[in-house]
Amino acid sequence: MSEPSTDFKPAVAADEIQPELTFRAILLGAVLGIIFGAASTYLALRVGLSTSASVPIAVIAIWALKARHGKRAILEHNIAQTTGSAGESVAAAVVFTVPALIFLGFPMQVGLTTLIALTGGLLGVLMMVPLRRYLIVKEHGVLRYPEGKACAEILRAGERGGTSAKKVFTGFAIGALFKSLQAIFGGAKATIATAIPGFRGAQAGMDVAPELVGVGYIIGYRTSVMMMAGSALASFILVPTIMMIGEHMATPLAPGTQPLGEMTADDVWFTYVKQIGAGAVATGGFFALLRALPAIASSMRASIGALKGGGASAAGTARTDRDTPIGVLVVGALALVGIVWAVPAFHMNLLGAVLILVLGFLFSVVSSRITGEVGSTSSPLSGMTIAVLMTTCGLFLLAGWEGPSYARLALMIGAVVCIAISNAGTCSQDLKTGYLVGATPVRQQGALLIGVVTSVLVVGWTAYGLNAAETKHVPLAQSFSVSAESIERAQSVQGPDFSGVAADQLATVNEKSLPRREYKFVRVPQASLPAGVASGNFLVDEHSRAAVARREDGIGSGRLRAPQATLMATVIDGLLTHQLPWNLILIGVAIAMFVELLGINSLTFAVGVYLPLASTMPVFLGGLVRKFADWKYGRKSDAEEEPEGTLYGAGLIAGASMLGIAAAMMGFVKGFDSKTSLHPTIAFLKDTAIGALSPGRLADAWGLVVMLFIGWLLFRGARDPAK
Amino acid sequence: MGHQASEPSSEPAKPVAHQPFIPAEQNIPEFTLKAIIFGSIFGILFGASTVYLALKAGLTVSASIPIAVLSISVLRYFGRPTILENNIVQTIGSAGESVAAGVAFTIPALLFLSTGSHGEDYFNYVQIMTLAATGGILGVLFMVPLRRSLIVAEHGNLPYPEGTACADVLIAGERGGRMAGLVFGGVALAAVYKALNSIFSFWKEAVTFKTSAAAKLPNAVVTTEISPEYLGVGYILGPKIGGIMVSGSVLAWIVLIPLLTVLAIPDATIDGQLASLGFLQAKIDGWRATNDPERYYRAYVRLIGAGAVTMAGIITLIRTMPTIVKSLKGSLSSAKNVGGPAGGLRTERDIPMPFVIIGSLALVGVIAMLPILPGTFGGKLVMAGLMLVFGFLFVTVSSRIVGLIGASSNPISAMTIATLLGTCAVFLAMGMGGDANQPIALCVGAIVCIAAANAGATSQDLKTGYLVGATPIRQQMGLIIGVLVSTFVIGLTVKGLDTAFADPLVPGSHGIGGPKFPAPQATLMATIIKGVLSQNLDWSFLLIGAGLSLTVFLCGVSPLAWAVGVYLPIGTTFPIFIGGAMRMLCDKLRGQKEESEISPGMLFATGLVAGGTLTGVFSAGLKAIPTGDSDVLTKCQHIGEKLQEQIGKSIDLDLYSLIFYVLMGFLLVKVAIKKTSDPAKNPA
Repeated sequence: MSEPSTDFKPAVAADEIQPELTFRAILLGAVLGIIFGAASTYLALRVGLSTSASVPIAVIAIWALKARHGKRAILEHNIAQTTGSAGESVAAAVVFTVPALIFLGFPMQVGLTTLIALTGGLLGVLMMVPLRRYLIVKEHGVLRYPEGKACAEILRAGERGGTSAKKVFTGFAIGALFKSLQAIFGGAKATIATAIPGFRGAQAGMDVAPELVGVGYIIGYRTSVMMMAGSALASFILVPTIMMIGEHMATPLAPGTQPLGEMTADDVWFTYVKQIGAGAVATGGFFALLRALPAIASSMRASIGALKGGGASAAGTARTDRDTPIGVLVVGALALVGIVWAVPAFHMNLLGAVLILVLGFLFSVVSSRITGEVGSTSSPLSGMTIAVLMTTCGLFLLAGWEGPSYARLALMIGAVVCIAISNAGTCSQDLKTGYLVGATPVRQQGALLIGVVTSVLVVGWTAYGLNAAETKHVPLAQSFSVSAESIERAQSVQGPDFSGVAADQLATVNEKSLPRREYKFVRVPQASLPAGVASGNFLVDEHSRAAVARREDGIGSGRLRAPQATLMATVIDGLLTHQLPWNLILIGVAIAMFVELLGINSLTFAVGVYLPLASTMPVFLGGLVRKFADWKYGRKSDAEEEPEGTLYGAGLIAGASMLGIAAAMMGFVKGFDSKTSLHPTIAFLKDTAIGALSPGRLADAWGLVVMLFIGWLLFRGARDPAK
Repeated sequence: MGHQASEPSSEPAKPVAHQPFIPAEQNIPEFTLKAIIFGSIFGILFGASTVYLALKAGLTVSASIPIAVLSISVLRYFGRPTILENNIVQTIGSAGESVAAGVAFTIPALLFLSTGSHGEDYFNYVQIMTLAATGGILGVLFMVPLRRSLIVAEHGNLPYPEGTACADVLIAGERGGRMAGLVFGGVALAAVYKALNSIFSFWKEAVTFKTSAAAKLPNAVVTTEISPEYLGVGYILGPKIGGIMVSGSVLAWIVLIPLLTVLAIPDATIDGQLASLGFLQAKIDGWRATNDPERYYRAYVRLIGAGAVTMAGIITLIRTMPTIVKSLKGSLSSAKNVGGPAGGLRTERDIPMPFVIIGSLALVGVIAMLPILPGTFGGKLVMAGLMLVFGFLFVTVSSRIVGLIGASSNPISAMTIATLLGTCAVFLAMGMGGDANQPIALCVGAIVCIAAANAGATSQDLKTGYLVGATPIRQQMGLIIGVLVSTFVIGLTVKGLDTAFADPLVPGSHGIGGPKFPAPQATLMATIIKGVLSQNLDWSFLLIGAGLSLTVFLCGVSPLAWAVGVYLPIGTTFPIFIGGAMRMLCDKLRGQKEESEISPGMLFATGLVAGGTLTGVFSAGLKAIPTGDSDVLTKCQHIGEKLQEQIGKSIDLDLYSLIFYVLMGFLLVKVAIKKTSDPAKNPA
């Protein structure tokens, strides 16, 4: 299936020299990376989602950077998009992991957050350097990298103009229009869902997400249907079975907290099936890794061989084949790990530092393969992170390491690796784009490093700031004292000084008006608390050891739900206290095995089990459109090179993710203010014009119509205009 | 998704000047007594073997080529045989296998029908034999008019892979005969192994690994029956199908059963479910005491499996519908083009048409009138009509599909489902719904299934005959003899296995449907009949199974083999997978892929299957012989059990038992990778 890479002709030939790593490209990329990074941080904290930013940045770059002096600008556009994309991927991964610190009883600090983001981000870029030859070049034709592919199509169309640009633009307009209906006006629901009558617990659903339809079209029918099949297994088999069997149980079934009879299908899915899915993803990833390792080893040998061949041969390598020298890579990676080990804030030991390197590399392969197969949006980042945490905690338990400080250590490892693999996925999309347009890998890798460095600071500050803006301190009516041992372990934080407030005003005082002072941040478990006080984080006076106030962080409460981080904290806690639902995870492992025995790729299927059906349905819709289009227009089914519909799909991705980012930014601007209201005009539109179209249950039908309409438009757009 | 079938040109090929191996003018011994006798013997043996395997694992293994190979070598000892005699042996013998498959796939469904249907009462020897004989003969008779169009007129278009391969073996003669040693070797090894194992119990029949009910992954089970027949079948099927089958069992035994255990279902609920399925209280109590996985398998997973198999059957039917319709059209149009009466040539003599028409009408008429069959007079008349219509329809389809893609891909169960759906629809339209008519519907399905299965085998035989220059009428007579002779034994085997392996504690219980003989296809047929005719199914679990089959189908895997895996115990599918893995290993060691059906490994594996299954049938026979307080089989088993007890004191019994299995596997690999010339490569 894999076409020999020698036959492949990029948009800019290897022997053609065009402006690439220019100042204006990097500047634009860095600025957009910072903006989109901040917006993504908000979105991920708020709803636990992230939207790929590289395609929107490519669109802006085409518009902003015009060709100069009769030269082509396509490689500059590529660099801008590459630089900018790092912000988003780092932001999402930071939000998925770092806030778990709070749930484990440690304060979230700007410095540490930034440092974690920086090391993880840089590590991800470096890991993808030796993997590029294998994943991007060798597996070209096998791994699609839908977002990367879409980006390349857009860059090429932007340069060529004409009908292909028109096609991208139409797709863009459609994607933006329908996304705006949903994301801003809220007219079409974000997710349509309906219970299947007569089949208790089975619930069909679909996100109204034009970008996922585009992704589905690009990855093709085979992959999309397998992913959907995984979700169908979860939603139509596992959930109904659990509900049907457990209906009459009086007591809750661990890890759930309420009896099964009182749970909704969504509860059951989130409580039980998600764990099963995590086990399946971990196993699927393991199988993928096992299959990939021989090929990786051989391509690494080739890289090292090239290095030994002497520096002279570097000049002889084609421009499009020039990677960051392996020496730089090794030194860089070791330096990063050394930093992690040496910087006291990480509280890291040598084993942890080595684990970061090893797990980071292995899971980068898995992450890159997944994004190559199903796309960035569907990449189960949290699932892979859970697998990393399971491995780490497993080793800790073998070493006999238990307790809160090891929980923090495990989280540190998990966070750095999570950020690294998230960024590795994004890097591979960028490198795929570069491969398709004919970029110079070493320059892209340089741009990526710059992008990480410029965006991490803003990501750290945004996360910290959003949290601080919504953090509340509730003074305790009845103080209690905390053990000296736990104070010794605890970290210092700033908090309002309640000492000057009269006892009867404590409940009503505005904490913002109080002076600040230093406290110890202590998590007190239920067992050591006086009766009637719920466990949580407390501000404790260091000297008197008296708890002064309960601290309620913004993250984890109210609007900043940070669902993934909550999950990570639960996993670590469960692992180190031997309470993880191993049975569910092992069942997931067995599911991956059964799929593998069918002779098909279990990873794609497992991703489907892990993701909600609503997220895989739009991808499947795109795949279905692809199948019909290939059949109707007489094309080879699911071929990577398909000139018409891919353009249209790329447009859909660009338009919808642009609007997604815009919506995130709207929210971001208001994010520091806890009262949110829509602009009066928009609010009016929402309530009258669009609201009228979708009363009550009709909203689902309306959403379905929108999706089917998008599918139909894509099908029409896939036709060859010349015929 | 596509079919492997290459598109046949709709244009009927010009009757090319076909020159058979033995010219039409040459008259040599063909339909001789020794040929008939040996054909019948092979038919009986392979018939019994097929029944055993089909009831246990829902699989069959094609018999024509092994019989041809055996015939060439055995007949030599009784005077010099002609190629046409060998062909008659192979023709007669192959009927046994196909009729047995048709019987084992359908007739046990009588036991699975609704209680109100009294299907069990019809499950007797005479009934089974009558249905088998009628179906088999109908298959042969319906093929008579089709021979000229499918075999002769479409000679260039329809390859009939098995028939052609068989002709190659016959033409290769002596050289092919030497391969018989491999089949015999397999049979002997399997027979000795199986006798020591299951008759004398010198080592365990199954090796089990299972987690406790309190483990992290509770009640997960991996079992392997270390028997020669599964090893052989797995080798023949190859790693892909083996993997698909075991995948279904992995889902059942490592996903579903642990999941059900995790859900901590109250004991009363499970016991109630088991009791409603008709299990004895003693058994239920035993399972509850240990929270045994078998409990969940019996109470829930079996039902899920039945749903999966049924859905998979329906999916297969829908997917093969275009092929079925196309085959029907092709056959009808080519039938029109065969103008003119046959000449007087020896190779063109068929059973005369009047005999065919009168014969089939008479057969159906007799069936309808026989008092042993269920139903009223009117009902029987409807039944007879449906048998004729569906029978002819699917014989036509089956013989053509077999010509295109080979007998092993023949979707017999899909055609039977179509028959059952059609029959039930007619019954409902005539107001003949309800439990009482379930057995009648099944009889129609059984006859059509057996006829279609035998038509497939018949057309392969006729193709072989056409290539080697046989006389069609003699082959057709031979086939009828083969059907009649083998049905005696097939009925006996089905009934014998059912009685011998019934639960001794429960009077009137059945071996079929029990742990040893789950009969997956029959469950499928019974579920369809119950669902359409009486609409009294326990839908919830069936639906889950149906959903699973759909999921697997979505992944691009053909779901029938997979669903059978869900239904079967993992002890059956896992060794089949091991056999498939052996095949892959041999391909690797040999450095070339894809063996032909008459390569050493395949023939040896066929021998293993035959030897293992026949010894299994034999042990059922021993069980039937009473000796004082118990029976011969139990007495024999005591001998080995004492030995095992002694050995178990010093080493792990599982490990000890595996030694013999590994030895057998080693021999199979050794035989398979030996370099030999392949008689199939002979330009014929």
